[in-house]
Amino acid sequence: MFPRNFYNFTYLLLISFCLLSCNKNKSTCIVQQMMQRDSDSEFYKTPPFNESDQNKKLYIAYSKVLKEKNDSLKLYCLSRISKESNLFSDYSLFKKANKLAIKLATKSKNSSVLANLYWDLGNFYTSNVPMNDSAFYYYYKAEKIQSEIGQNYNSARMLLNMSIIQCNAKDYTGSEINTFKAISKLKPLHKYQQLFKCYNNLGIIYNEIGDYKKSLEFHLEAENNLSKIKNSSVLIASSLNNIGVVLSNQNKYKEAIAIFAKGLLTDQLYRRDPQVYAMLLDNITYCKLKIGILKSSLPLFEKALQIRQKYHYSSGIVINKLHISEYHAINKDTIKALKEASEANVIAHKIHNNRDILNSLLLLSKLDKKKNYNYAEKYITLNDSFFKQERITRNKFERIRFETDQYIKESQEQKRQKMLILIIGIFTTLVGGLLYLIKYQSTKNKTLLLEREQQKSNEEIYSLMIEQHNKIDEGKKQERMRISEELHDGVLSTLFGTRMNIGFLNVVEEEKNIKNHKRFLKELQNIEEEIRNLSHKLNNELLTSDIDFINIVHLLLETQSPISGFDYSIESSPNLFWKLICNNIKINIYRIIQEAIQNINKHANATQVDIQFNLVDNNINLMIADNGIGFKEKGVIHGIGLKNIASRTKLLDGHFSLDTEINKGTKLFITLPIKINNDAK
Amino acid sequence: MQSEFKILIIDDHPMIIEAYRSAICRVAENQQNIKFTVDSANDCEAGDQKIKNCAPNQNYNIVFLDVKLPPSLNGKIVSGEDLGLKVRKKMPDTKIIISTMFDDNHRIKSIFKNLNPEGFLIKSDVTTDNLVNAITAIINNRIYYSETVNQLLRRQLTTDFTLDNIDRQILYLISIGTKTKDLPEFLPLSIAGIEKRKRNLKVLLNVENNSNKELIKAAYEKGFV
Repeated sequence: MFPRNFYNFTYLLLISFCLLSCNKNKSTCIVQQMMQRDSDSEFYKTPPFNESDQNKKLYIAYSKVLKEKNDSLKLYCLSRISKESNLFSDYSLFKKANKLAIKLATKSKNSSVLANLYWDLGNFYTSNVPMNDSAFYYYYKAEKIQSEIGQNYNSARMLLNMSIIQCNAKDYTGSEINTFKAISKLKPLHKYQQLFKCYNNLGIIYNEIGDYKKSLEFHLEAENNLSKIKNSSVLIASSLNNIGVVLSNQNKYKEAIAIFAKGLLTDQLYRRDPQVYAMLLDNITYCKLKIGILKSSLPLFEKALQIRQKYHYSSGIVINKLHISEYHAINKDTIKALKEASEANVIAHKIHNNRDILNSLLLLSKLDKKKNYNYAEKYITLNDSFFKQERITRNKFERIRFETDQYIKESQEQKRQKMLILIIGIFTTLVGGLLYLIKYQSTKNKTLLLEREQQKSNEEIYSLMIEQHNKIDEGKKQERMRISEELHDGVLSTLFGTRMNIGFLNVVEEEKNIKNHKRFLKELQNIEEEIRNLSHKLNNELLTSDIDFINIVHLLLETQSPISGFDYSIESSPNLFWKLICNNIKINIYRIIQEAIQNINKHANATQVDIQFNLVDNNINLMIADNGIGFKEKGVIHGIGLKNIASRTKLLDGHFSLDTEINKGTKLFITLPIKINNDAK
Repeated sequence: MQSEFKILIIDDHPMIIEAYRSAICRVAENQQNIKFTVDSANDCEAGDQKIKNCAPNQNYNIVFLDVKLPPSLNGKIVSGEDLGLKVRKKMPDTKIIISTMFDDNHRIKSIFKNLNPEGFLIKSDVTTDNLVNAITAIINNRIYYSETVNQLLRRQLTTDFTLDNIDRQILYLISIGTKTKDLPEFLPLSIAGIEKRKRNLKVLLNVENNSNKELIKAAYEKGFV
C-alpha cells in the first residue's frame, strides 16, 4: 500500500509545485483593482496544462486518499486536493474534499490547515458572486484562526479579501477598517505587493465615495509600493488605469488621457494582461470622446470590446457598450445608441452588476424620451432596492462578525460548563470510591479481628480440653496414689505381720500339717508380693500415661467407636511432636476427626477406621480411612460434615480431598501446613 | 554363761512387733544361755523417748528399725533413718537392723550410706527362718542382709560404670514423675546441665528412644533406680 500512496503523494506534490507560479489565493489573483470589476474573474493559468487531464488525475488521487489510514498524511493530501480542485473550478470534487478535510482538521486540531481550508472555501464562494457573505464568513473564520496562531501575513491577506468583498458590497466603512488592519500587519513584513493592493483598494473606496483628492493620494501611495518590487509593470499599468479613472471623475480629462497613454506604453501589455489593456484603451477613448475628439473613437472602442468579448470580461463589456452607446448618442444615432444601451442593461442584469444596471437605465432614460418615465421609475425602484440590499449586506457582515464572536463565546462557555460537570462527576466518583474503599477496609478489618478472636477461642478451647483431661488424670492419679499407699503401708504390713506370726506358731506332730503350714505361709508371701506389685503399678506414673494430643484422639475414638461398633487404629509418625504444634491446628484437627467419625457413624456402616498422621515437608498429612459403603460422586463435597471439614481446612490454608467408591470404603485426605506453637520451648 | 541382750523394736504395726518377739523367743530357745529383754515403740516419738531414757551403761544391743514411721511431734524425726542416726550417735556400739517395705534401690542405698546397718531386711523376702537367722547372725556379730539387698549389691558390682549422686537423683526424680523442667528445683543444675546429664545417661544406658520412659526402664534394669 505504501509505495502507491507515496507515488500519489509525490504526484500531488508535483502538481502543486507546478502551480505555485500561480498565486495561492485565487482572490488575490483577481486583477480586481480596477474600476470596472469583472464579476467572473479569470486568472492566470499557466498554459501548458491540460485541464481535463489534470482533473482526472485529481479524481484518482482523491479516491486513493480516501483509503489512506494515516490521518495526517490524509489531511495533507485532502487539503492539497481541495486547493487544486478549487483552482481548476472542479467544484463538486472541491466540496467533497474540503468537507472531509475540515472534519479531519477539526478532529486533529490542526489549526493552520483548517485556516487554509476556510481560505479555499472563501475563494470558492467568491467565484459565485451572490454568495459573497459566505465568502466573507469563511475569510473571517480563516483570519481569526490565523491571527490566533500568529500567521500575520496570511491573516492580513484574509483581511484584504474581506475588505475587497465589503468594497464590492458598498460597505465602504467596513472595507476601509479591514484594509487599514491589513496594512498595519503588512507594513512590518514589507510585503509590498499586498500593500499595493491595500492602497489600491483604499483609492477605489475613496473614489466611490467621491473624495477624489484622497483617492489620488492612496493611488500614488500604491504606486510607491509597486516601485519597490520588480516586474511590476503590469500592475503599474493597472494602477495608472485607476488613477486615470479618478482624474476623469474629476473631469480632468487631459491629465487622464496622459496617464492612460502612459499606461498603454507598458511593454507587451496587450499580450501580458489583455484586460488591463482593454480597460486602458476603452478609458482613454472615452476621455477623448468627452473632450470632443471623435475621430477613430469607434474603431478603438470596438477593438477594446473585441478583446473583452474574447476573454469574457463581462462587466468590461457592459461599460464598453455604454461608452459606445454614448458615442452613438453624441453622433445623434439614437437607434444604435439605444441598442447598445439596452444590450448593456441586459448583460448588467445577467451579471448582477447593480451600478451598471443603474448606469444603463440612466442612459436609456436620457436616450429614449418616450420611455423616459418608465426608465426613470425603474431606476428609482432599483436604486432603492439596491440601497436596501447594500444596507442588509453591510448588516450581514457585521452580524457575521458578531455572530461568529458570539458563537465562539458560547462554545467557550459550554466548554467551561462541560469541564465543570466533568470535574464534579469525577470528584463525586472519587469520593464514592473512597467511601467504598473505607467501608471495604473496615469490613475486612472486622473480619480479621473476628478471625483472630476465633483463633484465640480455639486455642482456649484446646487448652481447656487439655486442662480438663489433665484434671481428670490428676484426680485419677491421686486416687491411685492413695490406694497404692494404703495398700503398701496398711494391708501389706499387716499381712506381713500376720504371716510372720503364723510362721512362728509351733505346728508340730503331723507331717501333713507342717507341710501345709509351710505352704500356706508361702501363699501368704505370694499375696504380699502381688499386693506390692499392684501398689507399685498404681504408683508408677511415668510408665503409663503422658497426656498429649494423640491420647485425646484416642479418648474420642474410644467413646465413638461403640456407637456403630467399629475398631480403630491411630498412628502418628514419630517425628510429629504434637507438643510443638500450635493449639489452633490441634483443635481444628480434633474437630475434623469428630466430623469424620460422625459421618462414619451415620452413614458408613464401617467396621474398621484407621487414622494416620504424617509429617511431610512441613505439612501434617491426616488420613481417615474407613471400610464402609462409600458414596457416589467422588470429588464433589456434599453434606454439612464434609463442608465443615473443607472450610476448616481452607481456613488453615490447607488442602482437602477425598477418595470414595461404592462398597469399597472412603478415605479423607487433609493436608495442613505446620505452625509452631508460640509458647513451646 | 548368760549374756543379756537388750533389744528395741520400733515399728508402727503391733503385729510385726509381735512377730519379732516370737522370732526372738525362737532364737532364745535355740541359744540357751542368752537372756533377751525386749522393748518396743510404735512411732518416732516413743522410740526417741526410749532411746533417750536409756542409761549410759544400759544401752540397747540391738535395735529393729522400720523406716516408715509416724513422725515425732516436733517434726524433727520423720523416719526410721532419723532414729537410726540418733541411735548411732548415742550408742555407737548398738547394732541396727533395718526392716522395711521399701525395695527401691535408691532408698536402700541412701539408708546404707547414712546408717550402715548391720542388718537389712526387706519385708517382702523375709520368712520366719530368715528372721531367726538374721537375729542369730547379729548377736554373733555377723551381718545379715536379705536377698533383695544382696541382689542389688550384686548388680551394682557388675556394672562397669558408675553414676554419681546427681545422676542417680535425676533418675530417681524422673522415675517418680517429676517433670524435667521442675528438676532444677531439686538439683543445683540448670536445665541445660540436666539435659546434658540425661543425654549422657541415655548413652550409658544404651537408650535410643527419646522418652524418659525408656530411660527409667533401663536404669531400673541396671539397678540405678
